[in-house]
Amino acid sequence: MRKYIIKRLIMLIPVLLGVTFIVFLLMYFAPGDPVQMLLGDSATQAEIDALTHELGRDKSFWGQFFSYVGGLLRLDFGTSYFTKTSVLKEILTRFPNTVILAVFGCLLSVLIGISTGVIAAVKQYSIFDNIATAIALIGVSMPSFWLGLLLVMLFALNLKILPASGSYGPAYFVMPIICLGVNGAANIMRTTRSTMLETIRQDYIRTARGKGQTEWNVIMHHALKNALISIVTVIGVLFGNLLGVTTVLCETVFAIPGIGKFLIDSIGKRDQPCVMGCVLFMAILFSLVNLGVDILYSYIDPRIKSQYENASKVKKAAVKESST
Amino acid sequence: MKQKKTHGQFGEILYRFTRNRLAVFGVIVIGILIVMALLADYIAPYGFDEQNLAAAKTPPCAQYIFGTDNFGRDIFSRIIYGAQISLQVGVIAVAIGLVVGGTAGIFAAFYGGRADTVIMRFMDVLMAIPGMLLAISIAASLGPGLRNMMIAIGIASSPGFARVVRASFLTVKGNEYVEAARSIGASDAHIIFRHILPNAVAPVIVHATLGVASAILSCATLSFLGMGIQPPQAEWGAMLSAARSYLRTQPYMAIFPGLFIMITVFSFNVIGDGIRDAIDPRLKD
Amino acid sequence: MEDKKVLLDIRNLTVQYKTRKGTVEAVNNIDLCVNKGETIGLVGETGAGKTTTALAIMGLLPVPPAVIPNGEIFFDGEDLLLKPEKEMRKIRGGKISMIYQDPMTALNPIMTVGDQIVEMIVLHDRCSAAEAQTKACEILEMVGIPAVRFSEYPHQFSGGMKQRVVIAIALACNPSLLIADEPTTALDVTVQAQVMEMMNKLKRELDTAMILITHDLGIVAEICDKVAIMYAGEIIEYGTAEDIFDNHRHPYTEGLFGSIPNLEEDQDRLSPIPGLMPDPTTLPEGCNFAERCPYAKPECSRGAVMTSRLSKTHVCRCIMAEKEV
Repeated sequence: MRKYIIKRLIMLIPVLLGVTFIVFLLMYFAPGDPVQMLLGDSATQAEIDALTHELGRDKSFWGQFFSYVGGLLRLDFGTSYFTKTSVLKEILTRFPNTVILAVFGCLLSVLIGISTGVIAAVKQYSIFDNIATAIALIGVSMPSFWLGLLLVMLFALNLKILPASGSYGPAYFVMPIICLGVNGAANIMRTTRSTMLETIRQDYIRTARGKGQTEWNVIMHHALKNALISIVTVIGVLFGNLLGVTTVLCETVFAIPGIGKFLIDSIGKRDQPCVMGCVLFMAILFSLVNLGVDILYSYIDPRIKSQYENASKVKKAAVKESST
Repeated sequence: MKQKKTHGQFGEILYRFTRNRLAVFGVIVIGILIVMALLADYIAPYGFDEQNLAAAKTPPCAQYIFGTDNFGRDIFSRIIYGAQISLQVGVIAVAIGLVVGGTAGIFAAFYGGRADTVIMRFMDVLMAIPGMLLAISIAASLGPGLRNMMIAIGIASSPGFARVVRASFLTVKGNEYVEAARSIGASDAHIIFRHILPNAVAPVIVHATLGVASAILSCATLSFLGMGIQPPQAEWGAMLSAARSYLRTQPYMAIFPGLFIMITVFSFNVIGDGIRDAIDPRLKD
Repeated sequence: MEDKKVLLDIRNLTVQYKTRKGTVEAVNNIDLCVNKGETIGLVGETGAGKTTTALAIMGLLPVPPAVIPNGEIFFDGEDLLLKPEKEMRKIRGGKISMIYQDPMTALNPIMTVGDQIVEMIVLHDRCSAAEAQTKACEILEMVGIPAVRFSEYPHQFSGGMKQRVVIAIALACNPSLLIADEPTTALDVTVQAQVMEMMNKLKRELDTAMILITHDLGIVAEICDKVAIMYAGEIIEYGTAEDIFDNHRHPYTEGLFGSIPNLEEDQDRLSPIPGLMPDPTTLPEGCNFAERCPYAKPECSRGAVMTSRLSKTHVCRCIMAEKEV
């Protein structure tokens, strides 16, 4: 198993290199010259040339790319054009806010999504099922930033029980987490319901009932555990999305200084090192989360686990045979 | 004879689809939106950038049923013009994603081996960036505007299409009738278009319909973030962005555009679900 | 014969499935009696209502759509249909257990086979986890699986081995009635005989009564004491193995035997029963088999056909038999 994890980590390297290249390519051709923006309209050509050289923007595309990758290998994501601080430092100071949002948003989604999904599946076509399914459908169709605005209007402006924006304490995170959680819960609820419906019809569920097992145990131990295999995949995708995308919107709506808001601000300022850093950082996180999900997967599903173990056994046997 | 059979299958699917009330509701809503968008010039009481500063910030009333914004523009008219943009982006972005991703998926599945590896590794790279983030990056690179936004959303959705197309292609390709066609010496193109495509197309249609929903959501998102449609063009996400400054005093400015995004996305979602259930009715009943 | 105690007595059982397309009459007014330690073969085509009958006994019918409008299922003198779910759970697995048709899907893929047996033991026997584990190992050995495979998962077993595990689960708590629903149809022919033989041996050792659902008359001849032939939800002929094999009276039973290749006689071709079973949502009036029956007369489709008792052990539902009595 450890071998498998190491192998997967090594396989991540070319993928991330590819991501770096694509992001770099995109930023290289992005319109607008940050030098012009930094110096303003009154700058002389000499000043422009000097700053262009200083930022390394006079090198060829490949020259710039390789010096960027070289920097990455030393964990150097470059420096911001505007604040002159290290991009990694800028990201890491904002990272906790984004992680809090993503983790709690995900937790809320999982708790609500799985529990309502299971109940809806067990009581298919009941009033609860119909209402929950309808709400979930609305939940996945609702733009999260609009939901954010509605929450602000309700809780901050009308009821005045929660602060509208900023990040000066736990209360400031309540609405953003609800905002993230609704969308995620709706997603997970739909997946849970449909996989549970499929699982409940399996023969081994009938076997469990035939043993005289209580309905609760049949659902929780036999059905849900099997259904989790599919649900976990969705949770992984959801967490990646929360980390990378939904937080962007939430942080923008609620003015929380996280990586997402930093990314959007940097795009606006044409601060390319920061944009690249943010996208790359999120891509790395996303890949690691997906890897974690795959590993979790193999712990739930013995069939997958034994596939890896068998594969390594077969390989070992083959190596032994060829060496003798 | 064969023609008749496929028609029968199609008829059966259509019948099952029409029995799904939610899906039919979705079709009706989208139908109304399309008509609204096409006839915007005749339906909309005002132009999308027709300002009437004297009537600025009027709450919903008989003259302005959804009220007016800070420039005195009629929100109802702007929503009608916004439908043009949303539907256009939804369809064209999905078409781009389908052409780019679909072609890649077909090549990968049909030729297999190295072509498959190279194409799918490239798709893995794109997939390593969460979809919306990729769209944001591409949009940042291309700059704002309708065309650039459609390209950004389309490209960002292409890896998903590549996967779906490849997967459904591979399952169909394994079927015996393809072997049979090959054994009688049919050409590659003939096999792809006559034998594989019609049978692989169902999951792709479902994915595309749901894709329209998420493309419309992406369009609104990008515009909300200021990276899509620029003012004074009327776009629902951009209208929401503008409404942010008036949440306290003019909440209706934020309610109606969001409502329309939601209804549109909801409708495409239920249509997609409806098609899926109609094609594969196992989970129903 | 009177000293044999009645274990299961089904009276007038009817099961219907209410669907949007109409009411499926899956089982119609059947009577069936199983004595202690006895083996009864339940024979019929796919869709004849055999599995529905089995699930009704287990109390595992999917409700909805299934409904039981009338009938009684007496087990040890008590009507199972009137028992509350809590008591049914004790009987299920403990007193009556079932072997399922497809061993490939009957086991939970993410639980070790050992744990699946232990689960059964813990539910019905008062014993510690360690004791249950020891007992599970013994049972595994009993069905011919080395106990070291206790902590392996179902996907690591072959079809025949999986069915042995299913049998081990079913027999783990010494049930007094075992319902085997086509236990060998999903297996390779070579494995079928092994599994059948083992099941029969264990059944005898444990003195368990068994309802064997099958459409394989060869197996029935080998191990069943009594045979019930089902057609379109009805038991159309019922008797001892001799009654059915040597002295069958119903045209359908006759047809069933005609469908088996006979190695001893030199036959050119099988004589299958023409036609299909009637649609269970719209059963014909009178005899369900009339449409396919070579001896059908106009009166077959008029009014209900009564069950006639041909001998102490042999009953038949056919107007021809009616006349004989």
